[in-house]
Amino acid sequence: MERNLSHPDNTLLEDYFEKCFVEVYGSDGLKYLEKEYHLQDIFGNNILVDYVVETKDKKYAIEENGVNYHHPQLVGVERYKQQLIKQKSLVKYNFVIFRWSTEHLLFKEKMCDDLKLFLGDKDRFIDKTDIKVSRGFKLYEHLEVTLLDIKKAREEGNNSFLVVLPTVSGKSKIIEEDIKENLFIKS
Amino acid sequence: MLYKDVITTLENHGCKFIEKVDYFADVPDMYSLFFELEKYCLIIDYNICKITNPIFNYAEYTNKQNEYMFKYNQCYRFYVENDEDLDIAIVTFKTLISTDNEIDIN
Repeated sequence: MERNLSHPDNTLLEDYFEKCFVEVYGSDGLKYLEKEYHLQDIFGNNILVDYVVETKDKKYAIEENGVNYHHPQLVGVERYKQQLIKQKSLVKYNFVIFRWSTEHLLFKEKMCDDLKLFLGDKDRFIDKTDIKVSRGFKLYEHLEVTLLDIKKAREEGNNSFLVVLPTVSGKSKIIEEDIKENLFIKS
Repeated sequence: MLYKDVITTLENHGCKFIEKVDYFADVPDMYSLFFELEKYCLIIDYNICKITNPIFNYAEYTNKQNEYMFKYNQCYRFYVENDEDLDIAIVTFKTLISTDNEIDIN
């Protein structure tokens, strides 16, 4: 199974980035992002790109870079050279690469301006539906029951709900699925 | 290496010098040089892994690179510390651009 189909939890940086992307390209904007894109570098080693956006005539590789793992002075010469091999490989494969640092991602307004400038209008983007819609996992029964209860209560005119469940039992997942059902699908 | 020597070497290979980025005013042996050759951009990082206190601003680094990526689309970046590294960078850069369009992962 591809990692992007079995890895529903975002890192903090991914979360920041995707929020900015949705801010710029709308609530269904994530369908244009291909997450954790696999390919080989020019020496045949496996590499992973955080996100790829494609248009009919361009491919954009997007990397969100935590300072501790990417800053040349912190990672040292050898790891920095490895980063550059990956970057050169992507350029060679006709990707346009954009990197955003942690600091950058925290400034949402600047980040959104960059996305608009560098990636342009979403009309050009190719739909990559695997990121959101086709995640290959099944909800636990207690989550499905809760979602059905919410749906039923909503049909009866209620608009606010309180879900009480133990820690790490899927409360966030309930919110995510409820939003998907009531925001993404109806939009 | 003095940055002027790097510029001269690259200019002798047909590259057009665009700008020099210094990371600290008081650390002259640590810089990035930006060049253009036809439709390509070449970035030479000289000694930028050198430890300083504080370290340089990484957001400025990514911001600058994004600007060049946006402008040139094909932007190759190399790290060098000496003449030999620079020679390897030049040969690699020329090889990469001379085989342009020969590799397409699609």
